Amino acid sequence: METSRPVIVKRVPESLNLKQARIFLEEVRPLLEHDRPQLVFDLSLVRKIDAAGVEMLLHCMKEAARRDGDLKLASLSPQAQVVLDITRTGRLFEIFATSADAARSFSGYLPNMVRQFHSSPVREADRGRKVA
Amino acid sequence: MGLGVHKGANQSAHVVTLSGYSLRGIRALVLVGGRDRAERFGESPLALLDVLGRSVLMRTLDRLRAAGIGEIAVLSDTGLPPHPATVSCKFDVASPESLWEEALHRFRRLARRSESVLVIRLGAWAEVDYAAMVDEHRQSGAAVMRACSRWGEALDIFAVSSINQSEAAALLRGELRDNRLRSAVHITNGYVNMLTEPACLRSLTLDAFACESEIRPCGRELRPGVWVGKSARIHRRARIVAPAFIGNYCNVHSAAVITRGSSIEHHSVVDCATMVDNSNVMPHTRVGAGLDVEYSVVGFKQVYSMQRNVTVEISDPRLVGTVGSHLSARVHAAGSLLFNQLPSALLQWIFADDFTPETTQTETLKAVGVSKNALSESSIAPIDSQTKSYTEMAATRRYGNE
Repeated sequence: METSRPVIVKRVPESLNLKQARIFLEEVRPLLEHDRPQLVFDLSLVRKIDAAGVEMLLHCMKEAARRDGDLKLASLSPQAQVVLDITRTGRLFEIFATSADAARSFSGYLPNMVRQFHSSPVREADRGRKVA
Repeated sequence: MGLGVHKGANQSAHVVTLSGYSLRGIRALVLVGGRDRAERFGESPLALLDVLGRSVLMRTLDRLRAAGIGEIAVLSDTGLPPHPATVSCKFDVASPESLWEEALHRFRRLARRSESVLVIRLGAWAEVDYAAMVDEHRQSGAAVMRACSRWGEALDIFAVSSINQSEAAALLRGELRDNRLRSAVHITNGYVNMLTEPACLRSLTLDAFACESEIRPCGRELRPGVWVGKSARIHRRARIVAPAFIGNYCNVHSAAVITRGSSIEHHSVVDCATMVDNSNVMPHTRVGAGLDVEYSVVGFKQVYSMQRNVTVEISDPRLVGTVGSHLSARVHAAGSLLFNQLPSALLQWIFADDFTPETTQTETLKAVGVSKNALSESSIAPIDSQTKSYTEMAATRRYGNE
């Protein structure tokens, strides 16, 4: 089942400190206020991210979830991956290798657990990449 | 004939020379750095970083002293950390550009008073039997003898004859890499760690815990497999799982977990509820609260992740910071922290009656998509008792794929 709502891919800036996180949050706030927002944050450019940046990501996820939407992360740079790992927040997000994979994942209706039973080898490969 | 006996690598080994051939007339020149940037963590060469309470440089000097080497000169291309007064060596710092010229100058000075000079670049941690090597060099008559590991890895450890100074000049000007030189080879059976990248520090630590190398943790073995340095403070609710090392003046806060061969070097702080798993925390490092440090080397505002094979600079002191190296700096930092937190703590205490948490657990669950009906169907009780709430969240969510 395809959803008709758009998936918005937003590229996160290179530095995600307190100041930049606030600016970015102001940019994405209108997107978060939609009904059931479907957002993908592309973190491929991120070189510096601190606790404020992580808080901002969590805040966005919370806001999206509050409106029955979802926020997914894609193309994480090694720097972002390490910071999400050490702050234990990486496990809270769905993380994909590319933005396209993340956007495609919104189109599925079935929950992941159910989808595992119907997955093809190609999807398995995708899942492997997602975990990596 | 000299018989250098090297005890097995699995024992608490030290070099014993049965021949009576003294190394007192032998001099040693120890070089630190002078090579690849990869051999560094932060700005510091790996050889200067502490492993279980003592740096590779200091441990190498200990081995040279134990072998009976008379005079040792140390030359580094970066500032050396403060060294104990008991180590009677000449410590000098040269600029990276002039390191090798300075080394040649030092070599000539040492060569005047000895028949051969050991030139060691750190570099690798290698448990070479220096007595056996010097003896073999003397018997071979070669101008230069190079140590190699039993797997054929060439080590930057040379025994150089004082008579043939042109060979020594070529060797040092070629940054110990001149392949035109024909050097004899001494194969060492001791433990070798090439220390080419920060991950090697980790393997060196684990090998030391496994007693595969001569390195032993500096500190008191509080209980089997847990070594603690002097004046280290460990909260009674912190959990230290053997093997682990907590260095001098470290502070491990409440609910922190140190496990799987982790090493916390001196003056470091591990904040509340942080887990340090299979990692090395460098000296004077503050690891923030609630973090999960796994398979990493942490310090100098950097994290080297072995899983991702990447070094990440972290500028946020709430994640990874530094602890002042001087007592006054530490007192100042503690004072400023107290003044920062005291007003908010007082306000919270005064208005404690009005204080209510922003969101309850039920509201949070609702926010992430658990419908009201689902909550009532599944009853609220399991949420508070934290039993099967997560599986229900996955099953009762109306939209999305989670």
